[in-house]
Amino acid sequence: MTRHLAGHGMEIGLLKRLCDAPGVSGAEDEVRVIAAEALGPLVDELSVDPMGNLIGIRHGTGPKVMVAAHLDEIGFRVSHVDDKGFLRLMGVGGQWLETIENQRVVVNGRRRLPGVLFREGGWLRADALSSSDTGPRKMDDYYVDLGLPREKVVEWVEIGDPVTMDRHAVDMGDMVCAKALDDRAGVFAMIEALRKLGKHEAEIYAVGSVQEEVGCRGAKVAAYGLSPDVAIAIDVCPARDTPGFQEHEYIAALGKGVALTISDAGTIADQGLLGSLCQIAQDGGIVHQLLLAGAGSTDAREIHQVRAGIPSITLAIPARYTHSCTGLMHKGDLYTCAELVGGFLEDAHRFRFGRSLRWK
Amino acid sequence: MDIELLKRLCDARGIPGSEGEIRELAAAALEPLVDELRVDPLGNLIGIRRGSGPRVMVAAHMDEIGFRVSHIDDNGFLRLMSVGGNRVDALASQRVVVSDRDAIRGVLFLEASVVRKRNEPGEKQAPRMEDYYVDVGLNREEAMRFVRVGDMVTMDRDMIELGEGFSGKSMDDRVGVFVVIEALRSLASHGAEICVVGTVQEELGCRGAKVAAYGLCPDVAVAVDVCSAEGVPGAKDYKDSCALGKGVALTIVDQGTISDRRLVAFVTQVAEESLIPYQIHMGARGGTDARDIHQALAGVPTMSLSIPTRYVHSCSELVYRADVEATIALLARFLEKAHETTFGFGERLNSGTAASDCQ
Repeated sequence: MTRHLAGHGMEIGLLKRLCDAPGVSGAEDEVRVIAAEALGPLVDELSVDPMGNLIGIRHGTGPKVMVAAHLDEIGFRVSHVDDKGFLRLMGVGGQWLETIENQRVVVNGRRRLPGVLFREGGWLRADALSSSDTGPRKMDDYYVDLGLPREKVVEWVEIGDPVTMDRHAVDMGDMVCAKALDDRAGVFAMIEALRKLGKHEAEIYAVGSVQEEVGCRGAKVAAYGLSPDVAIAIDVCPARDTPGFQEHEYIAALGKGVALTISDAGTIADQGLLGSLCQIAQDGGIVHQLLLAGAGSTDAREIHQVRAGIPSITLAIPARYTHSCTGLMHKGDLYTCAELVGGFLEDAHRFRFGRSLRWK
Repeated sequence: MDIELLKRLCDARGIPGSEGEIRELAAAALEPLVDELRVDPLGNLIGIRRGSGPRVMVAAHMDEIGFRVSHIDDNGFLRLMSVGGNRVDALASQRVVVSDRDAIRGVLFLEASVVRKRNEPGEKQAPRMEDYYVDVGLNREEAMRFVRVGDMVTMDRDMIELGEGFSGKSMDDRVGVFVVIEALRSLASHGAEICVVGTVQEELGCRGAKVAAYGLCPDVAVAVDVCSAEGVPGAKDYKDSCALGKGVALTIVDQGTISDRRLVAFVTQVAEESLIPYQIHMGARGGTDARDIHQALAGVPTMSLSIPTRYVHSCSELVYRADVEATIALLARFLEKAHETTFGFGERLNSGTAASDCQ
């Protein structure tokens, strides 16, 4: 049974399924299947491009609007099996090493094997209670214990097998707590926007992109292939409204609505597009916040530089503890994001995008 | 083995002083196995199986390490007090349950300023307990409805089968409680008077076992607990004192107890005769209920039977199935044979006079 959030009508069960599915960059298959099943009934065409991007097209006669949310999540790949059967890992995407020790993981090889992730020597110090350690952590220090002898491990695990966190999504009141909210929440918001979409004239390209976490490689080729007039990347942004941050460092806060990203480390939003979205949000009474992020970037980074340039923006859903397996997101923020994307798709034909002017 | 019971025991929540849930589970499992079942004034669960031979106390502790809520801040974030030997350098991004009343979930995180500081070159200070907070996704007003200062906080990690064993948040010492129950289930005839005790507050200094031993006046005692197994990356071979998969560990010495040599000799002989895989273990840190039992009354010959465990005091404690089976088998065979020996103490053990003197 899918649970519907009271008043919001969102299928939170779908979000949980998306988050729980393993899908590190380059190995997004399971996520793609779930997203394809949900997108299928909402689009006129559904395909997978040569790089693995999932592309749903809903036809229209108006401007071509690309909406991108990435399917992949950060994680690891097995890089070495030692003579006792312990695995070493290579990080895929930006790891937050403070958060990975003492976590349970899944190795997605020929078999799905649970393991525990620990740090070399980390659990062995003679002085067990006071912490004499230590400064920055290194990926090389970590290993996975599968509780198996080497013979079994090499039978079931190969170098390169993807490894993801073993954490199932749970409701926490108005919040949802999960791994991979970055960016399954975006994929979910994109699907929700299409599900509730009213009349539109725009030609809509809904893209579940691959390999964002290693440099937006999927979105780049998808944008090239689709050649949209305008693009929106839906992604998460860090909410820093937590202990240890000063108020001026919050960037974004939970529960205050979708964040319109003015700029981040990869993209400066198209001014016209930003203006249109602000107007739609204001007219529709959609709760929103403005976001200036000093670090991080989204698929918009690559999309806006494709071909001769594509006006782009990121709509971000604030999440605490991004790039950990315990991300925390407010369902209301997800809802406002889907609302705003939907509102934009319905109104897109009313706006003119891009600043290209022709003098003669 | 009744894996389902092990999982229920392991997933139950119970820090020192709040062992109610686990005590109920253990009592339900013990009830058909004992002649007498009671709870003592400190909360120890005591089951007695009658016998005419020596009085043997078998203790496994019910409590687990964890936290208590110490403060709720203006924004609804909780601060914690550590209960027991938490490894506070590796708690970030763990999911926890705040219970005692309505159980609610939260995530445990390090203050941002501490993370930043730790990433500065040359910074050596590891996180301290006060650097952590719990985010329950509620503002202060809402949080106050569900949470009060003093509430128990435990890890939100269910037990799973992992490789050749089991991994869960509180193998220490639910696997010990499980071993005691399974040993009683498989017990054939015995002469000893068997007193099994699910003790409380071991993690804060074996406070339950101490008073239970006083009340029971055992002739001899065995604590069943986990012990640290090394053999992981970064460990020095010469520090290995026991390993996963090599059988039950007979702890001859740890930081709280020097095991009684005659008892160890007898138990070793039982293991040899019954072809039960065992290893001799010396614990370089930590102790068990044996620490306070062997010093109870005028002294009780005591040892620990230990289940080798990796990552003790993490929420991913790992034990091997074969070792758990070996521990169950050895405990059962020991109890069956306990009346056949005097452990080298002369007539005292079989006469039962020590016990009657106490009561």
